[in-house]
Amino acid sequence: MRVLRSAIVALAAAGACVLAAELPASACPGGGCSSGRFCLYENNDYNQGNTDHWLDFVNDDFDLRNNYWSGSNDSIDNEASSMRNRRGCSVRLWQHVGGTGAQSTWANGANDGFLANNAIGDNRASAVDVCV
Amino acid sequence: MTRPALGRRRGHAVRLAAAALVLAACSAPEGGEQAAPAPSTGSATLAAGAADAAAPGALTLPFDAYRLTGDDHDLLDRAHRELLRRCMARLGLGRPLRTMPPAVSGARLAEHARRYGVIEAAVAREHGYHYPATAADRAGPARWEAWEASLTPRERAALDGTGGEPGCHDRAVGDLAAAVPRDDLRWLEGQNFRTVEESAKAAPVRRARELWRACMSRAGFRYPTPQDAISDPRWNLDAPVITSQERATAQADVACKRESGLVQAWYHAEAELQRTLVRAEAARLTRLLKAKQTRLNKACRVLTGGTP
Repeated sequence: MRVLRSAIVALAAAGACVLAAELPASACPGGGCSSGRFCLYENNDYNQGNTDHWLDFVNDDFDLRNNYWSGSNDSIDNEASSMRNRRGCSVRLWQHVGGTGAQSTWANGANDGFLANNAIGDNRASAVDVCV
Repeated sequence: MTRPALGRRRGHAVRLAAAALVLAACSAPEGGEQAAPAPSTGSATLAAGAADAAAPGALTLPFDAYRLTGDDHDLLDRAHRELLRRCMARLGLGRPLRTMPPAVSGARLAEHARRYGVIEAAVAREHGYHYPATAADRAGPARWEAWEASLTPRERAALDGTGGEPGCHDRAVGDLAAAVPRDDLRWLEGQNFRTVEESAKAAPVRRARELWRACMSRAGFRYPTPQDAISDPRWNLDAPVITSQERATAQADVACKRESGLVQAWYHAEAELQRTLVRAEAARLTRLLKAKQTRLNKACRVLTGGTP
């Protein structure tokens, strides 16, 4: 699996976004998203006020069914509700596994705290293509 | 792995062409005088020969005029990077942008190459159901991870922001934004998903899908729909290995789409749905077109040395 998951669970539990170059690179929990990453969050508004389930990507992933929110056993397939793109390029979310069906593309730097109100968050994100 | 076959534009050529498009995009008018395309001309074309699903690059839909193209995204991404560079330089932190990997590393499929599933025989033969990837696609992430690991805490904070304070990323996004109601953007993206789903229910598409199912069954593959075929859990679409079973299934899938006329029927049904929406939502689409041009013009000004 090419998705990068949280490697610093202890930091996540503390709600801390520790910035240390020697640590494994990872998106910060608590609604942050590090440069170089594309970040999905399970809840609206980057999980503010909700369980802090997130996942970050540097790579393509064309089958989200086998990916899970950080620190949980919940599949992220069709579950994303907000996103931040710090990947350095445009990122495309696809409706179906294999990168098929309709798609939405976000430019580098884009934020959307309420995906559930638009197409891709309405139970439809099943694949990620970075740097389209 | 060799480069993907049909429907894919060559990456470097696209980047060069995109650079040339800076001037073209800048030349478009900004402001209210630019009207949305007349509904009757909202394009929905299928070039001769594309009806057999062999030329996905020829598939265009009426919404295409209002959505950002891949080249548009390239333009915005490059402008965003330039604004990042300026922002970081103002903070005396020029190094991260000097060492940042290239913004776009891979090649790109035609806009609707996979909207109706895998539809090219050559792609199915080479890649099965896997999304075509290039060496650049595969090399990009490692370069980004190395770059990310090289960031100092101060550089990372300046880029990403801290404690609710916006960083250079957020400032750049704000600079390139256009005054368009977010509801309009969400409506367009929502409809873009809805029309492909709704058109799948049209009678001609249902009939074609039944023909596809029968064709696949004769070939020894029992799937109710093309989506069930590509979603078969036996395929690991994230692994580089493509099994002979996956390739055989994908090739039969494409052949049966062609025999059944499924892509043609689906495409025409969807194009008609989008044409109807273009006629009904002219005011909203005019706003979207104006906002799109505003964003592109801002990007052009940035890339030609100006301010957004």
